[in-house]
Amino acid sequence: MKKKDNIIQVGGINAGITLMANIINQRLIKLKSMAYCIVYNKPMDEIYTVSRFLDEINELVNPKKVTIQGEVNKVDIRGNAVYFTLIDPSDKSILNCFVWSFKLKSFGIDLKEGVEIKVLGYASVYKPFGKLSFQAEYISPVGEGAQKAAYEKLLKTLETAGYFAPERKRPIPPYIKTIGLITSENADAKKDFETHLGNFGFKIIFYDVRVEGLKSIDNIIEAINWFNQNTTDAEVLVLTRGGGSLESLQSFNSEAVAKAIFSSRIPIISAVGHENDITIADLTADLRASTPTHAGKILSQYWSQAQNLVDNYDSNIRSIFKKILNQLYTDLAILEKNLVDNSYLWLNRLNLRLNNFADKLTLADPKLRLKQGYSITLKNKKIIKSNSQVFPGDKITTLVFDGQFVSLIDEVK
Amino acid sequence: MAKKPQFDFAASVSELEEINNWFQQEDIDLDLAVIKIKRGKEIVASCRQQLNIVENEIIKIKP
Repeated sequence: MKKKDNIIQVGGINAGITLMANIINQRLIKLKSMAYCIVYNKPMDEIYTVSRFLDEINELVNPKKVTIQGEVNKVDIRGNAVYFTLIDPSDKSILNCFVWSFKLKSFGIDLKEGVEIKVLGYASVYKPFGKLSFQAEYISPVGEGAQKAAYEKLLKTLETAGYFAPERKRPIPPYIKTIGLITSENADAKKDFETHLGNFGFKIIFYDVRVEGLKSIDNIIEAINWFNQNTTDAEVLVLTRGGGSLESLQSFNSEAVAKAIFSSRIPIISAVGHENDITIADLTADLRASTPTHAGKILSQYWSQAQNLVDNYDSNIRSIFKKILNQLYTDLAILEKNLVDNSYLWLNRLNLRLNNFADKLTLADPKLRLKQGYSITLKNKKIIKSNSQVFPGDKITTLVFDGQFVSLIDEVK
Repeated sequence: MAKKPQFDFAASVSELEEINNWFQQEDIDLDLAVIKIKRGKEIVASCRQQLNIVENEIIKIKP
């Protein structure tokens, strides 16, 4: 018998019964003590009623979850409940058991006489009959063949229900910073995952769970639910453990764990077992990593490339801007050159026009005419253009090339 | 005290990509280009700051 975290694991039906017998024995010792007090007229501690005594037994045995292995003896289906007995083949010890029909259906096993099973549950005494009964919370078959059959059956049921449909799977976002890690503290898988995750400033919220045995089912479900109810920053959950036999992976092949994964608000990466172990948890999860190492790599791949990516963007933007500036300088230089070139052209043209104009002005200069022998005659400083402007006796001034002379008009014709 | 908002690295990388793509176009508005460059440099600095945080933090939940 091994005790851990207040849950007692029991190897076989005998051990399970022994455990409960021990608890009952403690009470019997108390009862014997009470009897001694009565017989020898000693002061008595207290007297129990039958009901109170049974209540106390139930209070003691109810919280103790145990796994019991045995052979199914009798199966009796009554409405929503299935009653069966487990028998210990070594000494024919018998334990009365009970399971709800809907639960039995979800285990994917065929409960029939002679089948060897493991049952996780707790005991209680049914007060009206004073009969001890074991209530099964989870049942798994024993033996690789039976487990494989149960696996296939459940696989088919969940596939039909759409648990594995690709369209319901959510993408795992890149550059994840906060990870919810669900695995066992002592598992190699934890070490492998963390090693290959690398150091990129991750925040890892680690929830320690059992990853083997029927009791791990509740543990894993609690962890998934805890993250969904208590964290707002976990961007992904990683459910992981190393490889193993179909039996050791049974919690990852249970309908209850599949349901918890299916209902999770936070996307889940399942990394259970080795390359070839594909569990129902893997198929239900949003992403299956083939190994814990692979899960670490999936989450670190973006970060390991991020430095280069940021450097490249930085360098690209800088070089593009530099190119734009260079282009701008080139354009400005061309504009400046064009402006200078055009201004020369314009100046030349202007010059030419001015020269033409100057030539014309030169040609129009009266002095040039005077040089050619022409003269200008003025009367009272006004040019005489008609003989009607002058009369005999008028004094007129005549301008010639190199001077002037004054004359008196003798006759006007 | 209000919780410090987590730096969104993915969104920052997307914005850098967007800026990078913007610069690929034919006609660039120079005034806008200066704004984009400034923003790009800010994002690059924030990303580098984020990348400098290398130590992982592990919080163990005790169920």
